[in-house]
Amino acid sequence: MSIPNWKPLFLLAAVIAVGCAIPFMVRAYTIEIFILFMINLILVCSYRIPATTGDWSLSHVVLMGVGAYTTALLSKWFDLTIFLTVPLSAVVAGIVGFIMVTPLIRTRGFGFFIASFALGELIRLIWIKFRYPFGGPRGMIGIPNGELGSIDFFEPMPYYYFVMAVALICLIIMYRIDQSRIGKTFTALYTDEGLAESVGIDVPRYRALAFGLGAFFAGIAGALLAHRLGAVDPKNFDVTTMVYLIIWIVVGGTTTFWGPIMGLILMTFIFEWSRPLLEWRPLLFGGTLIFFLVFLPGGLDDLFFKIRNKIMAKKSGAGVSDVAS
Amino acid sequence: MTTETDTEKTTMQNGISRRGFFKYTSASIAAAAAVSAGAVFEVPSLIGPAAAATEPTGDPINIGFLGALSGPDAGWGLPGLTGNQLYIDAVNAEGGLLVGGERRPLKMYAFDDEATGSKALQGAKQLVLEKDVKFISAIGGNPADATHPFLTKKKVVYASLISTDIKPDRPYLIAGGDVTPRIDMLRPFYHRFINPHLKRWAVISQDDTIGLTSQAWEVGSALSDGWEVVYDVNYAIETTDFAPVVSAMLATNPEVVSLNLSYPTFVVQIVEQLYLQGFKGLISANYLDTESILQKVPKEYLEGATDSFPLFDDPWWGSPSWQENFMTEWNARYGPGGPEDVHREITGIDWDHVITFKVWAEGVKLAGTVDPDVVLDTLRGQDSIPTILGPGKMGGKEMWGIDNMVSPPIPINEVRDGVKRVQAVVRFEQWFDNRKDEIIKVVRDKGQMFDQR
Amino acid sequence: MDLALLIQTIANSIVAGSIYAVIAVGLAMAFGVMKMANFAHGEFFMAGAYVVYVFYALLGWPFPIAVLMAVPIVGAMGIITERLIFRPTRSNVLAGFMATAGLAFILQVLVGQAWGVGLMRSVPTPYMGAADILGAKIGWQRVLVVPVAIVMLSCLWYFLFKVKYGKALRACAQDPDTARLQGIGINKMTMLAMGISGASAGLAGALMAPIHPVTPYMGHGVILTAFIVVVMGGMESIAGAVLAAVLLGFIHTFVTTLSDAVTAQMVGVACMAIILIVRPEGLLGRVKA
Repeated sequence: MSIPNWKPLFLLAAVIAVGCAIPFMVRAYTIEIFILFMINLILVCSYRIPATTGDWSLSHVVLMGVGAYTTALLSKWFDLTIFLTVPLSAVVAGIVGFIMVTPLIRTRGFGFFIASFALGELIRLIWIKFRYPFGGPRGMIGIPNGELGSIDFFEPMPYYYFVMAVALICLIIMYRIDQSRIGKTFTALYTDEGLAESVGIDVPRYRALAFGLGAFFAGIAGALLAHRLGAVDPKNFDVTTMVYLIIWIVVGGTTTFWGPIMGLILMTFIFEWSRPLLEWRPLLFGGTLIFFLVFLPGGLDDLFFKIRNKIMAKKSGAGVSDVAS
Repeated sequence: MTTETDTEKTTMQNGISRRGFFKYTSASIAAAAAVSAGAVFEVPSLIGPAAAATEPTGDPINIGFLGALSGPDAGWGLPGLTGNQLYIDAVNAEGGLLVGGERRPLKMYAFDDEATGSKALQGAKQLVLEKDVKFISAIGGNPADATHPFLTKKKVVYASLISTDIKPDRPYLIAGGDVTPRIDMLRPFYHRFINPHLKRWAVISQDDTIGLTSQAWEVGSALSDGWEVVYDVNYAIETTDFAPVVSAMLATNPEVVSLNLSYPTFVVQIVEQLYLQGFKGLISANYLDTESILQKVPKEYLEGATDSFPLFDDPWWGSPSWQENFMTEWNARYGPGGPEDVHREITGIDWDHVITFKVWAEGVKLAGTVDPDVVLDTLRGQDSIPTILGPGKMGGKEMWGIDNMVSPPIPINEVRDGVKRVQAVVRFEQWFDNRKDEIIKVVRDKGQMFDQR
Repeated sequence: MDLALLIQTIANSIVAGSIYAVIAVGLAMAFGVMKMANFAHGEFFMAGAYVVYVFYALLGWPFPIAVLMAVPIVGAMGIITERLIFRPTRSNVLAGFMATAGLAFILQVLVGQAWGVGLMRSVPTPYMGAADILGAKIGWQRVLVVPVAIVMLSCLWYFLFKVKYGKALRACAQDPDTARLQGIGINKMTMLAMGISGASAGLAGALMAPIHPVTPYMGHGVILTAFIVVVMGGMESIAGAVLAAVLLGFIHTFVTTLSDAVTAQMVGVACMAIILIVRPEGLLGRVKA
């Protein structure tokens, strides 16, 4: 057990402080944007978990939808409080993810990508086809915003703090997983699967675990979204939204835990600032995706990584650069 | 004023051709309607020489346009911007809307919700929190469901095109511009008169909120008017190939095919399939985009088809009339060669949103305030509200649970030589009164009454 | 289902299968040669439809000429895609695939800005009227699809098996390393494959323009079906794609007629999922060593 490192804790405290102050400094509508941002933060970090094992999927946004629909059903049938619907929805999403990945375990890479797309679409089509209980193409409405005692989450400010708290908890957990042995095992699967196998790692089991964990956190994001919107709609979770998620991940990179977060931050800025461009925006995002995939496939965090290594190499003088963990 | 039922009895007794009698009676109703619409509430700058321009004296009132501006549903949304803008400019030419002695200019802000609930809510929040809009023009459906808790709390009037969105827990949601589903309820009645020997009615529409509810009301009405409804199906909204859909329907040998509230793009494809698969009966729909349809089927095929979106250069409206002026202004500005040429013909949607927008504006003028409770109560208290389709009334409690439906008279058109022409204008209330119990029972059985959804 | 409906549905299925075949063949070919998976294949289809819209509906050229124009135009788009997107990402199939997702956005916006997003464009039907085949009524416009598809597929077959470049293409697909040793330029082959891929998608779109509502987003519905067909047939097998296309055409049409379009989509996706799980190499694909 190493000595507690003050720097990251101080940084964390600073971020929390700024986060608490924001609602007082901005307009009401901007608070809504921040709420969506924090929900996406959970989503983007959750995608990274299976991605570190090499499993890039096209079904992640649908799993978020599973969380959202579960929240909708739990609220309507059992009138559960938001403090129960969120974790329960996460569990359901995690289970569905785990079930989904099982038949796909024989595929990798592109085959996995396409197969996950197919299964994701199948789930989405089930929501569209069955008016009972999923509401069909209209989706479901009337999901309560949630409340804490007498504080109504309909107002943006209280909900902002709630989402902030949940996001912090989720990110801390995901960070810890990433830093733990399990996290290292995940990365090992990607770097050299054959080697991992030969060392005795049960590759399919770890892949399934990673996928299920990713689905679990995606479910949390979905539940939070459902409570904010008060409604779920199959269109929210379609392939276009999935491509936007891919853009955040590609731009940020998956090498470090912070990669997806950086990608999300940069793209959120670009998204909001480019509003005056109106209909031209998807072109900008498509172009960004192509640019990164062709010139910066590792994303921003890979870029910073390389820059940092170059700087460190210059500092230490020698030609060898340390590979930071 | 003769009621529809009196007309029926008289016709049968006298043996006069039902068609002629029906048209005549309706013509007088329509004429009265046209005259009163023309006289009561025209904005002077549209009808004659411009009134002296006045300066605004009060704060602006912001209006929102929250609808599909892209994607498959854009047909009901995007064109609405032109009509609304023309109306706004006419009002602003006088300095603005007269509210309690002040002239307050209007300004419209649009947001593309792509007919998706979540985007609509985001748009509603932006329009209300950032722009403080007092009134929102919208298409309705799923977006209405998603935005109403927020808009109700913020007390913003939301004008949907479709009456099926009205519910008692949405006090500020008004509708009626699209005359849905009253149009679809009256067409079986119209056909009962001009085609008395026909018996078999088939109806299809898409399976979203809009299609499901309005089809339920149409089926109830057709049954109450003595039709045998041989086919009653809602096709998937994702359908791109209508051949199988139409094949299945034609297998039941209908004599009239009604497309209910199918989206304009679907109507074109369905009619094309009807033509290709050799259907020889009558075609009826809420809205026929004849320009587009006639690119797929020959003119003769569409002869006699009915819908309820009149053309504004129809001689029926007379001259001068609000309709004629609107056409002229629209073509001058948005038509070929105009400064804001939209590269398409005028459609029914270009003026459709204006119906409820104008009604609200009237209410604001009469009430002297933008407070929605006062405005809506004022409107409900009026015996007759001038609308661009004729004098209307706010009602609908039995159908929707609250009197939030703007009910102008309903035109019924037939296609003649490739062009739609108004044949009759019908008042809904009296017809409905005689049949409401039967019809409501059918809708309830289908689970589409307001308290079941 | 009575006989008349059965015949009608069979006829509809053949038309559907033909269109799926033309669309999917290009996708299978591109994937076969150096694993180029094109997410924007649906947008190529859309581009073909817009070519017809511009030349036939707006400029008034004869319909057959407008359709033929789609072939080189969208073929060129395919070649550009290969050069700018697939070549730099050749080592990473996923990266190329995702990058073409970005391309799809770009094409949708460009087309939307040029010709208006929002309302669908209507392309007049050049051949109105219906053929009466054993009691089934099919629009001439749709009937046209079948012979065109057969001609196109025959030309492709001839090219792949009788023409030097075509044989080189097949060699490259089977074993790129050996092909390189034989002096076949990989870059030339990938360009050729993407050119044909684009051209066939464009041709399909052009034929469908009078039948399908023409919007910048019409590719959405196409891409999923195309991938289902290609996966079912075996990712790089062209013959497999044709077989799977006809099969899927029948499955989709029958299920739509008996139930509805959503169920048909579900069945199609389920078939794809089952194949991927049970026999990942598809119906006619080769098992990779």
